[in-house]
Amino acid sequence: MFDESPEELFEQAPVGYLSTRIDGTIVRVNETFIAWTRYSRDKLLAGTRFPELLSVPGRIYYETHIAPLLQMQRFVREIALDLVRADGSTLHVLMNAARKQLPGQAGEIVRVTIFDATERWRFEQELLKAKRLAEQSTRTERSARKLVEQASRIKDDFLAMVSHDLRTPLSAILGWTHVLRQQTAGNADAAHGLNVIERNTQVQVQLVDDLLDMARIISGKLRLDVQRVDLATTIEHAIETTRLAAEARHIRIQSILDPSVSVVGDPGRLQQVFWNLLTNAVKFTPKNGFIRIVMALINSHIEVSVTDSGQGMTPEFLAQAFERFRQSDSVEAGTQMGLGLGLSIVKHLVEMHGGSIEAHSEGLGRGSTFTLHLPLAAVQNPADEANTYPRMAMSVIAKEAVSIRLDGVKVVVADDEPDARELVRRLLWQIGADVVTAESTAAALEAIQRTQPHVLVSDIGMPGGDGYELIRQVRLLGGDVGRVAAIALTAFSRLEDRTRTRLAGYQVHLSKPVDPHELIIAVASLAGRAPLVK
Amino acid sequence: MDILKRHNVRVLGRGRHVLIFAHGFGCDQNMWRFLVPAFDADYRVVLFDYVGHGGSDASYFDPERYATLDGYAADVLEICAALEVERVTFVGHSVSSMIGLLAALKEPQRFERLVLIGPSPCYVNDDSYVGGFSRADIDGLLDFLDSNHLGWSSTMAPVIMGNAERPELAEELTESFCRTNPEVAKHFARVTFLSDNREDLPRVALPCLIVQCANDAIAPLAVGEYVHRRIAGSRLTVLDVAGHCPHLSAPAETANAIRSFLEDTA
Repeated sequence: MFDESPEELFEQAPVGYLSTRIDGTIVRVNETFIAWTRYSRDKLLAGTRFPELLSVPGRIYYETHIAPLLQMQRFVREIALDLVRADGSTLHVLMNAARKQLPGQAGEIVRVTIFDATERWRFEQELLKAKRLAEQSTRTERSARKLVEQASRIKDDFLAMVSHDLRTPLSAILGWTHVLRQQTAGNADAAHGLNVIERNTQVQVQLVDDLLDMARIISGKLRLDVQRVDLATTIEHAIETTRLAAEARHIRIQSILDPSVSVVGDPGRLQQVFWNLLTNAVKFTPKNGFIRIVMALINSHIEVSVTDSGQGMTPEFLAQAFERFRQSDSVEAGTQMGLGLGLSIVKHLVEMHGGSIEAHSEGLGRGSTFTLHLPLAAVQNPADEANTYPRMAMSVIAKEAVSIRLDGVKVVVADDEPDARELVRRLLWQIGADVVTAESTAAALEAIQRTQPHVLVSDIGMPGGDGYELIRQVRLLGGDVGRVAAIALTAFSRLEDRTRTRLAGYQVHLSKPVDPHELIIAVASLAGRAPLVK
Repeated sequence: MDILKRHNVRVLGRGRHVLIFAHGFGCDQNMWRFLVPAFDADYRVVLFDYVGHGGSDASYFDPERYATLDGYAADVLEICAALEVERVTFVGHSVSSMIGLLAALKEPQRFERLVLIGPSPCYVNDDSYVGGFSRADIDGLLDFLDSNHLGWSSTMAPVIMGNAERPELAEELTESFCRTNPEVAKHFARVTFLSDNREDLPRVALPCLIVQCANDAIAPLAVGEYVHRRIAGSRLTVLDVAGHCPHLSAPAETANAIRSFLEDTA
């Protein structure tokens, strides 16, 4: 048997024992505590209060937390404290304490046990360090995310600007091609040269548009201008814009369209889908081939198929046909220009309309079929009708010259960019309009007041007071002048830009590069010189 | 916003005159439990918790509003306004002494007297002024609070226990005693121990009682005497007890000091 007295256990146990009065004055202390703290027993029992042995923070904590707890709760557990030894060094401890009323004694005592917690303290410091690091990295991550969002915004703004800057020169090239074509009638060389310039410019326009669309799709910023759409008419427009290219290669386009079908969607975007599919078909179909486009109501959805007698696709290519930057090897090297974005954009647009698209081919040399499924228009959406100026196809300029004349129609053209300004002036002047140009908002305002025009054609992005500011000031003039019909002509072509120009007070928004016919028809209809196009 | 809910305001007792008791750093309205029975027969007693303490709604904690003691003083005034009380006696412990003083300077008509228990207008030593602490001590305290908020050694977490002698008390304490949001506690500690309201003291024109413990490490006797000197006409009552919470360790003596002050200034 072990022979251990209670006294010896109290004094030598591997834990510090203290008994104090309720105010903390030490009345009993064991040998272990004395050995740990290196104070003499006499000093500790000469009226020393326990909190006096603590570090300053510990003392504050004791007086503000532990003492009240002991008063009210009568115990405390596992408080981390720092004891200051006689030599000034620190001992990290955990304290438990409980109050006890001893029989026959006046006042209560507090029993305190002290555990050496050096290792625990070290671990705790590591935890604290880790916690702080984690908090710091959360903060870093948050600010990093903010930077990314900012960068993305800058990128979007940049894209909008690039679109403006890339389109503006194209606008001038296309417009002047149109002007020159009429003056070089009969000169075969010149006509051929103009055709080449025009065709290549069109390709360039398409590349810019595709890039912008893809950027919008990736950033989720592509918006649909939704309204009720007559699908057969939309497809016919798309056929019309590809017909020339097809005819050049003696490719027959056959269409079988159900005229009663309508969907709810963005007419411009749907036309883009069909134009893309047809252009692809023309591209990959050899001379004397054929393309067939069929649109019909199948059960409760619409099915459109575009079939060609072209080079077809291998199973490997089929699997990736709708991925970005995918291009099939071309039949005639050099004739296929593009970024391989077209089909990917088509797929996104179709899906945004709630539909799906698939490609099918029996193999190389056996033609391809793209089949598109769209849901039927479930609801009427009549409100949009009045709000939307008919968007005409990005065009084939060699249309029949329109017979519109603008004799006696006064027009003010505002644009800070000389080429663009001169182009519009020339297009309108050529058919009889009386045109005054202005290179700034201030000059335009002056010209409007002086000439009292029928129509204002204004750029939006101008330095020193933009097109929004101009129209606001014009509308403020009041009277007939203040009600002048206004066309915004701008390379800012996003849906939100279109909405904004209309809200600002323009009746019509035309995108650069401008289609000359579209511009002429818009000016004529606003001036009351032509029947409104449908 | 329900101000009374935000601060877990409780109104007890009966009487025409109102006593508002405001707790200090490290606790909540529970700390008045031994003092309230001495007053609730003759006075209306108002108890509350600062935001982030006890039963308050911590979601209202706003580091900017509470960046100085003025935010806490605004709380006191909003509570008075919500209760529609005027000419109250404000009893503040520790940092609440200064909070009450700031509130009284802002809206004097709300207050009739101030009772300051263990007040300190400035905890950090400054030239000849001895507040009791160095700036390094206070920084150490903030680190120290982190240690005690980590988990195993936390008094902040609710304690589950059985108390054979007073089980009903144990239940109550487990529920609410000194529950403080750790972030709030650290923030409040910083604002409290770095505050300096020495120049506000002479601006007080109300009857003031200073209840001072003879041996107090947080607000030493010399600080109590300093407050007494700088508030003209104030009364200083020194209790022969150790510690910073005489209303807990010597509730009878504390109540007597307050009572005689109330009667003498009635």
